[in-house]
Amino acid sequence: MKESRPAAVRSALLILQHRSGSRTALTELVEMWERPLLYYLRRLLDSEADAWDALQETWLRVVRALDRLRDERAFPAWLYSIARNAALSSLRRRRPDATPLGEDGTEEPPAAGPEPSLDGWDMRDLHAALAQLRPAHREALTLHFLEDFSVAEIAAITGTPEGTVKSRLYHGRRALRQLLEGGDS
Amino acid sequence: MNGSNLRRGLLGAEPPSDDLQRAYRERLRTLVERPITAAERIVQATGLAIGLGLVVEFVRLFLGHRADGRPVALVGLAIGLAFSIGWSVFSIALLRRRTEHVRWHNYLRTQLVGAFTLALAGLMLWAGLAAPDPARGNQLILFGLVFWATLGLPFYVAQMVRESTLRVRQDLLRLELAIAEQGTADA
Repeated sequence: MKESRPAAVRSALLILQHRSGSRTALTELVEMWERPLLYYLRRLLDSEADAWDALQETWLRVVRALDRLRDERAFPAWLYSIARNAALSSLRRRRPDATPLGEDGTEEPPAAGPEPSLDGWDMRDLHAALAQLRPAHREALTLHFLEDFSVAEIAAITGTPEGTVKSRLYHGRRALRQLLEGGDS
Repeated sequence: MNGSNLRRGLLGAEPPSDDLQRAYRERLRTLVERPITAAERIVQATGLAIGLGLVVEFVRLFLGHRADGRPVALVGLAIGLAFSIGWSVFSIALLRRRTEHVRWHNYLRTQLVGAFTLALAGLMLWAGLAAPDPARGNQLILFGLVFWATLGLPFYVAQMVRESTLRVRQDLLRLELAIAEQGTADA
């Protein structure tokens, strides 16, 4: 069994408190996830203003659907999938002809051997390098870095096969490392 | 690299714009606070008028029968007065706010009506038992039981099951959270 993540359990607790009639639980839930969701949306959208708008849309959708969420522990992945859909709607409004997220090319399977390590790099450099990755790689790595989501969870959020997510994580890490070392992605 | 450090580091690398955040927070207030529509305000104002009217009537009856009234009648009037005051205060608060919290106000409304149902059913049973005329007493007891069985009991059973389930699940989650946080601290 996978170990419980404190953020997922705390969110589940807040959802139950909200259902019990708590006055503050929903606000706490929003505040808890606001920054990481904004960071994720900012990686998918063109401007910070668009990301804030998509974040607001995300919460509206969450509140409408929250009572139908059966497994409260699955809230983080559910939340990110809603945020992703809100970002997609925003992108479609702005650029109707643009390629949907995560469909920007085919993926080579990951090479055998250890994953490229990203230890010891400065966070600002890592953040800047993330911006230069292909959108699908950037999205998979952002989800992994922010929430430590598993391959299966990222696949569920992005609606992509697990094998593709594995490839994106592997190639994304490799490209990121090359960028951090000063090479080309 | 530790996952939470990575998360913290990335979030710290991109501080959000204060202006955009402020505008978002302002818009997000509608998420938990729903504006009351004009029609709802009329319903609420009508409820308030009835509530205040009942307060006046219950006070008048209570004062009029304070000396000669039977205890069961005085308790009944006190319950009615308490409910009318509660309902009026609730209505005034909502009308002044012009918004309603998506959960909290509904929860208060349910509790208020539930408490009144329970009190009224109990009062009918007590009045029936204390009635000097057995036929009239039995009639009141029957009314009380039917009232309780059709309105009070289903409401209370549903509420109790729902609240106990939520409470037990919250307790289990608190335990799980403590274990998960301990595990994270140890790691």
